[in-house]
Amino acid sequence: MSSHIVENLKREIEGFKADRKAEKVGAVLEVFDGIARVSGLSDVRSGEMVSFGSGEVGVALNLEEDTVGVVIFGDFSKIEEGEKVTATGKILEVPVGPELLGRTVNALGAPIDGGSPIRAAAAYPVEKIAPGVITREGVSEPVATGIKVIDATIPIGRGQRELIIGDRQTGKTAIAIDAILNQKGENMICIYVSIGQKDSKLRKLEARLRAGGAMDYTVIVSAGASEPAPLSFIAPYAGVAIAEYFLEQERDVLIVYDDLSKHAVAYREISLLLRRPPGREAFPGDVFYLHSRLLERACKRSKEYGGGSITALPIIETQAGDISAYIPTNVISITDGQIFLETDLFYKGIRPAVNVGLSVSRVGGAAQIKAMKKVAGTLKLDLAQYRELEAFTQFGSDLDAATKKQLDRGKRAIEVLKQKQYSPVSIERQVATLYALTSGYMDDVPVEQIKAFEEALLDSLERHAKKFFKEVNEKKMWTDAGEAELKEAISDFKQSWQASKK
Amino acid sequence: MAKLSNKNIARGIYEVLKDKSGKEYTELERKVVEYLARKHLLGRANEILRELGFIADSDAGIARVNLQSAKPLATRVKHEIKEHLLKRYRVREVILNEEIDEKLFGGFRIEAGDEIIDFTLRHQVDQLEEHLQKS
Repeated sequence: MSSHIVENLKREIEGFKADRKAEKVGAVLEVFDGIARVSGLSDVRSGEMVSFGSGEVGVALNLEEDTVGVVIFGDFSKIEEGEKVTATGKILEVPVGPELLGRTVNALGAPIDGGSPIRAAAAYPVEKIAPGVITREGVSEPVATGIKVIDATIPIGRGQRELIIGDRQTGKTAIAIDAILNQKGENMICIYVSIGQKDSKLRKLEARLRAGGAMDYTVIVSAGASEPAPLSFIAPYAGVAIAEYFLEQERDVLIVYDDLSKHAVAYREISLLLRRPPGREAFPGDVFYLHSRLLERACKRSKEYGGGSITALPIIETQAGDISAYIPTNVISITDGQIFLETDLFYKGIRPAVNVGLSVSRVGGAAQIKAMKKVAGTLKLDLAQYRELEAFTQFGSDLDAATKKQLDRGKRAIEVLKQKQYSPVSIERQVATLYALTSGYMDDVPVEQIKAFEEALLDSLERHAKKFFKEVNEKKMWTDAGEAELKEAISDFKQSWQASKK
Repeated sequence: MAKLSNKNIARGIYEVLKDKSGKEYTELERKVVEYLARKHLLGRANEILRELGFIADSDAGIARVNLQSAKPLATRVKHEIKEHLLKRYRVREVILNEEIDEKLFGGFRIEAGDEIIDFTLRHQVDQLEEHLQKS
């Protein structure tokens, strides 16, 4: 055993080659709140990693005439005035590779899950220019989130950037986690970037993902609430760098940034400490670029350039439903659509509390399979019309038949689109449910029985409409024969359901 | 108005005092100190003086270099180092400030401005330690 260790050491020492090059160094002039002002470092580049004599690392962000402003990733209290600072010549990078799957790492890629050290063979720079126009292609394949209201009315495509926006406690993270859980068997790598969240919340999420078998294809990158702002600032860039590695392997990646409001706040803190001029809401002038350069790295790469995609689900927390605040409007304008969650809907029991009227997917039908497009074609419009007419429901008896029918259909649609957390529904089951709804099979089912009806119907269809399910699953559209089988199965089920309710 | 950098101030002082001597030099020197006091810049005096030194050396084509080694270096080696540095920094003169530090084990280390060129055994051992820890 010991001879084996000695042999290994010998080999390592023999293979070692000392690095003999000139180093640029500087000295710490002052340190405060995670920022160091350093003299010297004459050739340092913006974004270059520097190392302090005490072992901490930082990134040069402000290049001034006399000094360099460095953000410190770690315990800045260890750094002393006059301490030597060495430029590494490298832009900040994080370890990447399949070794990260199933792991929880910090913003620098070091494990924080108590597991073994990660021996990644490669490292990618955290800051990178987004892929150019030539390498991209239009979004055409769907990302099935397993959430009916999203897959039917606000479809997300591979390579799209879809914002999840809403007040606190409206189920934003729940949507993202459900989407990750639903990627099991979908050949998708998931990255969950937690920014400024409580460690207890992260622990719960990790346990939930592990229980759902999702950690096999997921990496969690976390910069917790107790960690310094610079780590929150780089966490999403570290996450997307890891995603880019998998993109290079021609894989599809889903990345969740939870949340970019806290990211903007962390960047505001750093910018103010670096004495950059504050603008609206005290955010620095380049806060738009902060998020646009991050989200632009999401892409659908064309086959000639290797294929693969990065789909981004950024999350923004609003205050009192104000989507016209600075950061929400910025991110809304950057992304390809938004899922808007409302507190009122949440407390009405409509969960996921998605406001279908304000939510939009700019990629739209291009990211839906044909079968879903067919059944959900008018659903969004129906729901929007229902919302408009909702105020008249109290005059139920005085309404004309057409309006009454629209209201009844709307109520049932809302019931059908309600869904429990952590219970994603497969796309063929969603199509079958929506087919039953939009074809009027649920019109005579009492609203309060819709959920029970839907569950029993799907159980029955699994057994009696196998052809339809198979066609939707494999060919993404049903044939006439499949549709006939489904219709018959629904009719048969309805008869037995009605008989059992008498 | 943009913040005055130490380099700007040092450059200004250098331009004012350049080519002056005798009474005129003393008078201007007094005025410089008065100016620094009036503008509340005396707190930055050390950094300004440092910059002034760099500017004066650069104009005179001088490079001041700290040469550290574990043992005194042979004259021939020092001469070779000087020759190399004259070319590297494109200066007329290299002023070597020699230091002996036994903790460096062997080799030598050059410090010029904010650049360090380290050929010491200590540095190589440190690098080896880092390499072994990583692997």
